[in-house]
Amino acid sequence: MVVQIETVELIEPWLYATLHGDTALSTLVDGRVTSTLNPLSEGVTVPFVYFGFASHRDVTNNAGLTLDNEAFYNIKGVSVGNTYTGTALAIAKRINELVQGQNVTLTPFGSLTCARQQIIQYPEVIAGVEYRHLGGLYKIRCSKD
Amino acid sequence: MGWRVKKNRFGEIAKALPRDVDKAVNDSADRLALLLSAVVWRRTGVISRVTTSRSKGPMHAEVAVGWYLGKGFYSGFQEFGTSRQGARPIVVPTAQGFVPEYVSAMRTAVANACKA
Repeated sequence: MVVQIETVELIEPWLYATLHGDTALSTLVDGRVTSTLNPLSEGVTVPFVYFGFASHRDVTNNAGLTLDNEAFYNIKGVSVGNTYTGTALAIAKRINELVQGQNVTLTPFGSLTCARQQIIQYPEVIAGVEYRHLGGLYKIRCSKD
Repeated sequence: MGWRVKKNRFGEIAKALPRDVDKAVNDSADRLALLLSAVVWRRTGVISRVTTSRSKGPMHAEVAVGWYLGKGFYSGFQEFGTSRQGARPIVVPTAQGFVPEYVSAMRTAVANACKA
């Protein structure tokens, strides 16, 4: 298999496996990890973890050969309530523990590193129900070699 | 045999550098705001109209895409998603795409300061 679209073929499977495969995070959100791989649907149960592609650029050499990939992913927890403490904070902290500072060699090939660039934190009110979004914008550098 | 400095322009460069870099930062923020206002989500056009840049002091500028609790406050919902809708990012990709232009502007500003 030749990897050409690193975001879909390497980064997102790693993110999904990392977030979905963690028992502590899974317990907090009852296994609900949504992403561009399995999009949100109307009436989705809260709390859940969401990760979504934000941006990407190839890092190339002078000959145009892609040496590296630099992608940004929005990774956050969404919970009901009017506070960023409690469930919202527990989810965001666990996400950060799982991905922040990771330097991973992928199987069968590829490697990536992950570093948070900024915290994402905002409220949302729909039909009188308050939600809190808490997580981060993470820069993921990935190489298929 | 060592070097003997007869004349240097460090003083002039030190004076020109903050001025030129500050101008480049502000110009870059204006340019990024212009780019963003052309590409942000357009349903009513409010976010585009309120996308703006402003200087935040020496060598520091801010680009706002909607205002917290004000006009275009929902740009964050578009960029990062809601409890019912996935993210539709525009600001992060535009900013990331702007990096080479920003680097170039900084390089030019430093070069100009060194010619002061």
